[in-house]
Amino acid sequence: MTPTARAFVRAATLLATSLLLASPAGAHGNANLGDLYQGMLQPLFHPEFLLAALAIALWSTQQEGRTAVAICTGFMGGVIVGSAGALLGLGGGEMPWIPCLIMLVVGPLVAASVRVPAAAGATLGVVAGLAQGHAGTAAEVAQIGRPALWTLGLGIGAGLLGTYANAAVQRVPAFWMQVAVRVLGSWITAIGLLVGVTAVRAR
Amino acid sequence: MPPRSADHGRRRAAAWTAVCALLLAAQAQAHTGQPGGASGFLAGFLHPITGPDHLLAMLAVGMWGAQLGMPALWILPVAFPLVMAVGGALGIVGLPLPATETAIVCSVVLLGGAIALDRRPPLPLAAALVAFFAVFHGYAHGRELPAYASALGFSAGFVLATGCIHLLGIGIGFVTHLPRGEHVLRAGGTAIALAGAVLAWRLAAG
Repeated sequence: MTPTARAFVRAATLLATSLLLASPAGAHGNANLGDLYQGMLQPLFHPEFLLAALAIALWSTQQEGRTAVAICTGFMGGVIVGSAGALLGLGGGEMPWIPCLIMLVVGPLVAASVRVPAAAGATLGVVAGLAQGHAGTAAEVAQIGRPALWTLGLGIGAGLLGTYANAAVQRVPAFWMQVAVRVLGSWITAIGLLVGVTAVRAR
Repeated sequence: MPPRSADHGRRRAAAWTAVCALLLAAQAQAHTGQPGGASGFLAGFLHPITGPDHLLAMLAVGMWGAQLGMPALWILPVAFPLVMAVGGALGIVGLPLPATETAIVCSVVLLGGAIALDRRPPLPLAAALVAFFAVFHGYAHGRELPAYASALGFSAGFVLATGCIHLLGIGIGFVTHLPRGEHVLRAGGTAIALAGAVLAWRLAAG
């Protein structure tokens, strides 16, 4: 296993352990952390955002160590800044087509297993993160009570997905795992195309 | 007779699992179309599985990929959903695509026949043939997609089901690793081609 793979596996283990330890400590406490968890779980309630974030996470697993870290951190940072921008009213209103666009851009990169330098990966990660964070927050802005916690939760969720995807894929360096990632990329692209065309036709 | 290795045993177990799964899947062949109220993921997932024409053609794609070996084994399952989605988009937009059902039935006969006759064309030709038929399969799915409430759920369901059928076909194709497995695979291809001929006859009969 490469040092980067070891780092991702250790991070995932640490996160899993901390989550298990946190459960009894936070049981039924009234810490007003609902917005944090709502932000973290936002992709689960909006699968199109989950697929877009998964595409980014899977693409990062196909890169060299530095590039993988750059994509994940760039995406996480972009999500936080984009979410903050939406909360501040910058950049317009709801943009439900953003996840489809990310799926259509990043999905083919995963299917074709395109490798890029760290700077290019970070740039695409940041841009996708900005769009994802903005679109995800703009769609929910009326229900957010504590904006800072929501934004933090959204960022943590994006970071967790990237970390776990890398840990899972790099833990199994077998050929079939690389193929499975590419197949997932083609599925995400296909879903993005169908949903996008349906949305355009509905207009 | 040389002693059988653990690897050999695992392959045999995998092959039997795939065959049993195929036999179980054969019972679900009504393809009645989804009722108007049904929507979302489950409806999309069931659509390719409950249509014998889709099911057999996609099984054949996986089996043929396994018969052709690397790199067709993984290129076909990666390329098929992408091209199928393009066909689906054509169906959603409403562009006319003539003889869709005929092309789908032809895909069952030809792909099954290719396995039965052990045809091994160059990879670009095999990929082009599969991609050509994928457009028609996607178109048939796309025609039904706008009627459902959840486009995302339906799309995810039928793309996932298609991928699972391919994987099942690849699993069946691994029977070639067994003694006389190539003959078994070709017999499976023959069965698919014959089933396709029956579907063609029913289609022609109206």
